[in-house]
Amino acid sequence: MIADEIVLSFPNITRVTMSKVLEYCNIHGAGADDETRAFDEQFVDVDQKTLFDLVLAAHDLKIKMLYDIVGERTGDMMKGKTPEEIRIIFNIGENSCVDDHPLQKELNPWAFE
Amino acid sequence: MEDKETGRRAKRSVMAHKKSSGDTDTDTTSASVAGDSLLEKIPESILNEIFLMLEPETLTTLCSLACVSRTLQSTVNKALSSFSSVDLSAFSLDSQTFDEVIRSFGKLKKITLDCLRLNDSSIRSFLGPDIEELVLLKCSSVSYRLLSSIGNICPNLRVLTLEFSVSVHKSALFDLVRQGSLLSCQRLESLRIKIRGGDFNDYGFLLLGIYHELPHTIKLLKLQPASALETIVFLKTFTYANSLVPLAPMTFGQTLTHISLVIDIITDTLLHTIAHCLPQLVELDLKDNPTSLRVEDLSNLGIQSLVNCKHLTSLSLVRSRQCIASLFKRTTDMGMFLLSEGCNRLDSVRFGGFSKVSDAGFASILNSCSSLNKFEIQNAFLLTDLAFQDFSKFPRSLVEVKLVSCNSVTSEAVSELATCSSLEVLDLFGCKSVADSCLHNISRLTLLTTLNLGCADVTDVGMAVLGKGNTQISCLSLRGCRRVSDEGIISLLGSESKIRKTLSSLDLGHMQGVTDNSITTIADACVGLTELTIRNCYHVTDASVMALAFKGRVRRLDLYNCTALSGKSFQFLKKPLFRGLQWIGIGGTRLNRVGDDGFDEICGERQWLTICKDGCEVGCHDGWQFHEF
Repeated sequence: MIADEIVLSFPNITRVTMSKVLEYCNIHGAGADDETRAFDEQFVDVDQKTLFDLVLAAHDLKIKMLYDIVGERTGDMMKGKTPEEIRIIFNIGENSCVDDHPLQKELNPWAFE
Repeated sequence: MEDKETGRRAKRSVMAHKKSSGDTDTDTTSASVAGDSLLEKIPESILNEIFLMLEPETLTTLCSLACVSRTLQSTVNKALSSFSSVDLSAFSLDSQTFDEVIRSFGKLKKITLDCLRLNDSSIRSFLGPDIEELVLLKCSSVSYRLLSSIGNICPNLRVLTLEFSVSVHKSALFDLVRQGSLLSCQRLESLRIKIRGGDFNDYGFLLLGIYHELPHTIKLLKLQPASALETIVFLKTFTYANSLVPLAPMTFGQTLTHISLVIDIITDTLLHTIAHCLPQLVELDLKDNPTSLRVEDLSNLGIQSLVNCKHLTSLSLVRSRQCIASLFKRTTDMGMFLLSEGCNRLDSVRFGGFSKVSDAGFASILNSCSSLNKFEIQNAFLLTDLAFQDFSKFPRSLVEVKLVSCNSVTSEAVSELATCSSLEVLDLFGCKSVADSCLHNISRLTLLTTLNLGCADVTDVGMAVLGKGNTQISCLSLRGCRRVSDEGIISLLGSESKIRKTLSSLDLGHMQGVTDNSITTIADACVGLTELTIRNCYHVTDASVMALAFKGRVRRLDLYNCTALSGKSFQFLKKPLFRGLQWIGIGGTRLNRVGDDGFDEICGERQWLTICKDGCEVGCHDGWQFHEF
């Protein structure tokens, strides 16, 4: 029997995430311009769970452009922050904190001031 | 500082997206159950890839992450040891610190270092056959013996950049070249050697014989200083078929495509030789600074010979302005016409010191090179608005325009230039006739990130216009703008100004209208500011330093010659103030007179802080060769 449709299933990606991914792909189908730039800015303006789901989905589906913007957005959330600030932003509990790391002391002088 | 709500359960709020680096306002989520973090659940491989997207703040961010939790620390450690490329040029580490830091990394292939405080043993510790790209900047204490043996220790080098200073032992420098080991690097493609200091009589002799040391794989060569005569002889010998020389003919001619020399004098013969021996040349950059003029100075014939380089896309011919008498007097508009006809594929052009070329000449370059991206003119006395009058009539793709010390250029020309919406860098330093009226057009340039209005005739009114505009300037210089005062700066950084959020580097040097009001406004408003210069601002007092110290965002601060500062400001250098400070210039101020005890204390608790007591510009990038560590 020849199948008329091909069904792809992605057990690791939720429906919500997949619909966002498809939205992104549709907008970017025509190439980049000012509109797509504006779309990108509000597209990454989401809560952490959605953002990280998008990172994982883009990685699995190998969509480089999407992976780059959501990855960069995640990176921006970490840049220029002290360890304490990072704990607060990403909800990392204090009971697993580590006080210092040799590289930390030398290169990032203001983290503990 | 931010609120900590540990131990309290609260609804998780949506992550705000307006965060810029260093901003710690209270849009953050509140803590819930400890250990319930999504970030730690992301697979390590993906986290590693995100780490690579952190440029240019990768190392500092990873350092912070390493202290957050044990899970993240082990992820960061693994990531660091897998890095094959590291750039530590933003930090002037001392040897002891560096030795500890370098242990975190694995086998390195590419390394860029600020060697201001490093000694031989630190550098030798990581050199080896794995290294492919090595950039050593500001080598003030590294011995010539080590520098000359780098080729032997790292035979697989493809890119080598060395920047060091001439000390008293010039003979050691000759050994560098004669017993040098560059020929061992069979794959060397890019070589840059820059020697700072030394007087002009030595030009060319410091690197005498360097050409004989070059491997034949060289594609990019950048030498400072070089000798015009030696260059001519080398090119003629090694690029023409010559039966006496056992090298294959045209060896260098085929591979050498980028050449950049700071030379004793640019002459017709030199350009002619370069153009005919290296017809494949893509980039030519010559800079000279002759103390006396000779008969064979550059003329139209020399410029015309460049037409032989059919692939030339980048051309830079600069004579620094030592004295007006020695500028390029024999090159006129005709030379420019011939050049623009023959080399119309140029995308980057820089001309400095062409005092006899007028509007027609410069306009011909501007108009015939349709793919021009970068256009820079320095010290052109005859350049006026006329050269730009038809500028907006043709589509342009200019990204960088620099008109330095062009006194006859006014706001009209700049307004024309500002119609080019692709502009990202606009440098008008020293253009004394440029006034406020062009700022209307400039403020509409959405891609503009760098703007230099030093010594221009702009006023507070112009600053208000800029503040209301659409530019997202990250690097702004108003050095020497005598007619801009506190009022202008405050309106530039008004509450609706885009610039207050995007500004990362600000130069307010030599401005008598700047007082504590401006600086306190800047300290509050500019959340992303990391570099601030207020040298020679005689009305800035301790209150400004205090404001900057408590806000703790600035990483490099230049206070040279701020005579109104008192010794009291020195205590603001102590922790926990000035969070993150890496470099501070206090020459010419009363802070300099604090005794050695005071300095030892600060340097003891802040080992990575560089305090410059001389008059260097930010980072000591122009005067590091005079420092001793």
